[in-house]
Amino acid sequence: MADMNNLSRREFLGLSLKSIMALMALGFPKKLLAMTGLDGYKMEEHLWGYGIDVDKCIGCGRCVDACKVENNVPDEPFFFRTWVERYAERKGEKVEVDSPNGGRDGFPDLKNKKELVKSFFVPKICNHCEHPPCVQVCPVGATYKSPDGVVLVDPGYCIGCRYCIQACPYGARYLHPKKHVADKCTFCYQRITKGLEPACVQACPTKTRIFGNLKDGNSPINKFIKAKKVLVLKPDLGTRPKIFYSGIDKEVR
Amino acid sequence: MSKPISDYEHIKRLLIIIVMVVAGFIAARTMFVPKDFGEYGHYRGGSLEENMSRPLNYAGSGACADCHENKHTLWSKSKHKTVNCQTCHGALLKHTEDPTSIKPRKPAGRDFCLLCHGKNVSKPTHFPQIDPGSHNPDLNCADCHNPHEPKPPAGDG
Amino acid sequence: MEIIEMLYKLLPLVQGFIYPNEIELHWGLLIVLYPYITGLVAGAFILASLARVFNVSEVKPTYRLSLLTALAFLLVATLPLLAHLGHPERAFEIFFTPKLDSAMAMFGFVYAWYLMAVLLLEIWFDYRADFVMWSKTERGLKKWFYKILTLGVNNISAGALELDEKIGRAITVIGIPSAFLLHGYVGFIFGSVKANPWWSTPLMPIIFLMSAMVSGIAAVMLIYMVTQWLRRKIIDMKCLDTIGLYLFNIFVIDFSLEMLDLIHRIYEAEESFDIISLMMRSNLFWTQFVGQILVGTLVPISLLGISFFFSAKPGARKKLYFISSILTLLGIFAMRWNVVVGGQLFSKSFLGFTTYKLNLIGAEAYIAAAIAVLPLFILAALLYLLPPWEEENR
Repeated sequence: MADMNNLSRREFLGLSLKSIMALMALGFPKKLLAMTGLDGYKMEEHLWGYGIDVDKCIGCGRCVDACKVENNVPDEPFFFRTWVERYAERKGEKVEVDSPNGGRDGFPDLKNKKELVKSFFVPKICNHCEHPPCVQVCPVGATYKSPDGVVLVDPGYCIGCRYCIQACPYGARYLHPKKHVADKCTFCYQRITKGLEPACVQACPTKTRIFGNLKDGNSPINKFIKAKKVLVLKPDLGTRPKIFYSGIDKEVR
Repeated sequence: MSKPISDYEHIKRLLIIIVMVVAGFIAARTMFVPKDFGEYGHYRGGSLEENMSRPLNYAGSGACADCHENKHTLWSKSKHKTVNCQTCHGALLKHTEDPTSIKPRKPAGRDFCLLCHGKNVSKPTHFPQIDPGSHNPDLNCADCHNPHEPKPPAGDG
Repeated sequence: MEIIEMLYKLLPLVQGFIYPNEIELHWGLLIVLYPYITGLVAGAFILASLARVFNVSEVKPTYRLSLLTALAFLLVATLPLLAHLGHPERAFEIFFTPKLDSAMAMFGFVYAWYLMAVLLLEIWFDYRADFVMWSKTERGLKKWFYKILTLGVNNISAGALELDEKIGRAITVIGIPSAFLLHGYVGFIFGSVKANPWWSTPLMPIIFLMSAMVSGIAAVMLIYMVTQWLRRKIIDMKCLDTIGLYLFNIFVIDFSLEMLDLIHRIYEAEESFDIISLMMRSNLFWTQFVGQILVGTLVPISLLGISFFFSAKPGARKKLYFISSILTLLGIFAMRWNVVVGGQLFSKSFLGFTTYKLNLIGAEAYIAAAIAVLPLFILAALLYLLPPWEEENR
């Protein structure tokens, strides 16, 4: 299952991409097409990775909002493909964390600044693990890691058993309240395969969120990984996340 | 009951039933498993395309330049150049296809600007922030600052 | 939308910080019921195997009763799973495109194997001679029912019966590891979730298996006493004592393993220990310390112990067995609850709790209640169609 480099796949891919491009030539704005330099998407030439520069995050929540709008995520505060957490560490006390409405409406300033050591924001998102436990447990093959490294859901095949939600160590999945299937971040697969950035990355005003092709040495994500010391969340679980954090704190889980 | 039945007869019949059940299962399986299942891995290959062809709501960054050249030029040199047009004006892919279909959102008042620029102890200290209580509480931000080319108002410098 | 209304009611009840997607507790009462029912099946079957494979002749009177109990519960074991699926109409995918490294997918096959290859076949071979007899003596619909079950073969010669006995025995021998597999697997479904420190322990399959045997044996013990009483027949005390002794022994092993797991957690005190110990002291105090450990384990073990060591009179023993089997069944149910629900109360951020309120889950509670009593009706029907009673048959 790991090695995807076989001929039949390439052939199929060529075909499917042609059909997608034909469709897009009809329905997709030409201006946008020319601008993004779309010249046929090749899955095998991509491996998508994502960086989060915690020191830059201002907690404005524009990423959360853009994600919900782009992907038609249910509005209620129980369903998030990405969200922002605020950490507040006080002297001698346990860390306080909050994420009102996933941070979508921004954060009012901390009322209590007593004994505050530091406070900061941490954006969260599906880690698109190299060894995704959610994919491992899915009984029917309704969630999978795509050849370009994105963990996706097949909503037409998911039986709604929620085992994947239990298996995700990062709380990145939810059950869609209307479709009754698991739902999660797709890196905006509809966008990235057309040469566009994920909605959250595009919406971020401070370049906190970095995205790109790990197979391309000059991609923003590779430059970020080279320039910074990066960490991943819960490395002890062996999931090998592809969301790389810079400036993370010991209290962040 | 004229001819004697072998002691194995009931086992034979049971085996026939078992074979029928297994054959039925295999037949049903070939019928119900989608044709594209297993194309790349243990999933429906078509699902990749379905995920690719979901509808978009946000246009690409820079889709606005052709029609809104002046604003775009101004913005692209300003301190707000890292802020995408649609971060303030809303998802506008439809607008780029047909400008009359939906109108860009124009954030009014102060609340939207304060999402980023409201003073907040959790924000990085170097990020420009104001205390909305003491910073001209009766004025709108845009009265003094052009969001497409933000800078301190003249004489404030 | 019902679920969203419920989530809005739960939102203010969140303690500390949980990831925003974690407010909904996904595996509720129905999934508590599922390992409980499967456990009863495995336990009852293992009790039946004692009589047949290990030649524990004392428990012979409950051999067929155990098999029918196992069947009655096994027939409904998949219902809670089915009822909780977002798309039950797609459930067949588990059989058609099973993912080989998914514990849940493999459970589908283990279940099918156990139901069709083990339990149904064992019962069929054991009852075949009776089917032939009943197809001659009964009338009307019942006659046809038995006729179909004979597969049209009326041969009950000594040679054919000996063959049945041999095959039946072989199936039981295969059945024991299958029953172990069935419930061990249920434990593995939880024990292999590395994201969840409350579930993730290699002891989980073996604890599930032991508690399965405990609950299954207690269930058959209770059903045996109740059916004998309803039919106004004498309870075979030798049989009951033997079952009681097995229950006691396995219960002690089960409890020791659970305590070993607990001590291990406390001693190692890993990253998740703060939140887990807080949960055990607050959210799970009544269901775990009181329900599971005190009332559901220590009391029945003590009652069983008293009846053995003080060699109580038969009348008193019956009462002790009756009470301890009921408490045991409640205790194992509490154990399933604490594993399934407890494992989802705390956030995977280890910083807070969500809640699970039975009065807010709506229809799920009624469905679960219906599924919980259904096996009793199925068992009644089975007892009517396939009477297991020794005195009438042999």
